[in-house]
Amino acid sequence: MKLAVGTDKGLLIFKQAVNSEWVLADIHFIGMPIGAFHTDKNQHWWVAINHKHWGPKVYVSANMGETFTEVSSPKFSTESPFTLKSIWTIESQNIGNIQRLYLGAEPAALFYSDDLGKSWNEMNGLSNHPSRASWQGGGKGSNSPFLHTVLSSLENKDHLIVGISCAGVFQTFNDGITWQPTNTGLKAFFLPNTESVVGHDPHTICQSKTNPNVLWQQNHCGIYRSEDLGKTWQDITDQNEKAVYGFAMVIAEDNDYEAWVIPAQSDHLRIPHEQKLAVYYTKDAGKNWESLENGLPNPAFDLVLRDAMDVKGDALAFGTNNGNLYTSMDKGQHWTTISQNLSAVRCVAFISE
Amino acid sequence: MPHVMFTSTLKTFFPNLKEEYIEADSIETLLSELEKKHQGIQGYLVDEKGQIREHVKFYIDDEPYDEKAHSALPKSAQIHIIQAISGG
Repeated sequence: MKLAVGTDKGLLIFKQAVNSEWVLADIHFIGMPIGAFHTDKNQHWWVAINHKHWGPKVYVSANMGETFTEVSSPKFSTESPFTLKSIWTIESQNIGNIQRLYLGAEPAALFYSDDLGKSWNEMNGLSNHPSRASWQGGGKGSNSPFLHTVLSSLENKDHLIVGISCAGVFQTFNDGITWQPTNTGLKAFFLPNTESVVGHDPHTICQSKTNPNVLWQQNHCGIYRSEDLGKTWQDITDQNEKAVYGFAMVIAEDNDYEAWVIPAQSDHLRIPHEQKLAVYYTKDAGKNWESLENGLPNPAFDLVLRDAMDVKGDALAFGTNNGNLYTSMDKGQHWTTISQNLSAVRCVAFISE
Repeated sequence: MPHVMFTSTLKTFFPNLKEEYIEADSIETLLSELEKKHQGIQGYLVDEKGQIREHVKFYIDDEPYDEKAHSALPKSAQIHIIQAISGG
């Protein structure tokens, strides 16, 4: 198994050695800020680089990182008031014989390509949503809303779920022509009307592989779960007020009641509770949350960003904004340090060989 | 004919890039000529609306280029395309 780690200074590939230790095997795009990493069904790697000078760029590798080719970058139309600032996520979906690629962008927009990145189309029904004027800038000092999560359906190719900060969860059932906000049950404590239809900040959204009607989200204002494909959300925030605020969340691949998050103390104090780095775990769909910190440092001042944690079977890995990288091979019961000398970690993904 | 020089960082993406003389009477023409020779380079220098990227700077005869002025390029212009310090 390999681990792809997208940092502000390059894409690092770690490999598990025979003695189970993780060793640095490759560095790609050294010195460049990685915006997103995705492996498609053909094991092709897709990488977004958010250059500070040269604009966002997209690359693909058909040979597990031996070589990369730049494809085109999405563009807002000349009529659009927006210009592309950065790429936050890459996803793919097989539709018949076509592999469709999705890019989530800032300013918030969803682009797709049916020709492997030669050209991109904007889903204008989302960009021009009637609620657009009420969307706000999200995190990382951004003053514009951005689209960071795309979930596609195996059963219904016309159905997509996206997460926009700060606007909320939106869904289309007609291949992007029209979009409905699905935020019922969420709270937005930063708005005068906390139960607003639009304006929420879903930091991360996950969809169960075993039961696609089950969605989870680590929100700015707590943790939520839905059993009806996001029509309604239930607040499953930790009653002990530990697992509340955070960005990263992963869920089990083989059931719909296990999940892991890495909370910060609060919106205002984005460091671990009592400076003790800990992963919080539920095995009962959020009724109870327990702290998993065996092997993690104390004191620590790390924040884990939305795409900086991954799960594969019993294996977990996460990287932090301070350049630390940890892994567990037993669902988080024990943690091992892979490195404490990286640049800020933006995304982490296990790769099968 | 204007003489164009590039920040060496751009060679990371366009390895064949080197200083050269390009027939152009405006920055707009210069960009199209560059794109013909180095496919994709325009997207590194300007955004999709054709505006020079925030952290890219053009200097003409050592003076910063003012995009709004739309001034013509002197035939003997020395043009430097650099990455602005503001970008980090």
